[in-house]
Amino acid sequence: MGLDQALDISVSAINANRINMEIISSNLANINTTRTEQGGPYRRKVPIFSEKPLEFSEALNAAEKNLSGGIEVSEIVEDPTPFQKVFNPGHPDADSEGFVSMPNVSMAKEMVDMVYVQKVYEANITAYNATKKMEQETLSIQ
Amino acid sequence: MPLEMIIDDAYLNLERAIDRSTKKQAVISQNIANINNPNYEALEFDEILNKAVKRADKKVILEEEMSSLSRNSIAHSAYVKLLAAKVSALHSVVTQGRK
Repeated sequence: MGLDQALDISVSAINANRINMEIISSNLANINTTRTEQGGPYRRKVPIFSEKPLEFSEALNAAEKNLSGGIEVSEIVEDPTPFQKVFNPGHPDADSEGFVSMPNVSMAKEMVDMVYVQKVYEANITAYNATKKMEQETLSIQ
Repeated sequence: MPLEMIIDDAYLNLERAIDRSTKKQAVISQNIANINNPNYEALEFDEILNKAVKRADKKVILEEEMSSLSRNSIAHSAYVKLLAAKVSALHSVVTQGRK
């Protein structure tokens, strides 16, 4: 039924935004990290969103062929912008001139992104609740 | 009395309206879900074709989608209430003989 598909789509978006929130948390947590497993400072992570394809069984039952399965985070890539150089000669990771490479994370940008993700998350929950209410109302016909 | 007088066109029309608002809900959910997706082409529900069509020229505007969402769920609620009222009227008609 169409409403189940609508619920699935909203859930996929809530899930994708949760992953986005985890990435933002990771960026904020690592704002001062100068040592990582790959070596060098932490690089800011960015999620790539793409439309989620329908699974075969879902595609057979889908009421609407133009609809996909919603959205998903297809990959998480690293932000290629250069690291910030901070003059701190006492730091063990400082180079010969006394500069330390700090992660390319901007706190202001992450905070703005976080507010945006919160709003999108909320919008999808509103859509989910509206669909749920519709489904309940449909069941009340008797 | 012919059956058409009791079960009239309104049932069929309401059924179609509920079907339409159900499909439209999935289209709106899809647009809201893809608000962060830069490569997404917004969908629009075509009331005449009764299916979703691609709206390649336009990006998703969250405010527009939220407004269609609430309008659609209110419309759906109205159709369901009308249908439920008709069914309940029919129910009281067919059970009158027992009293």
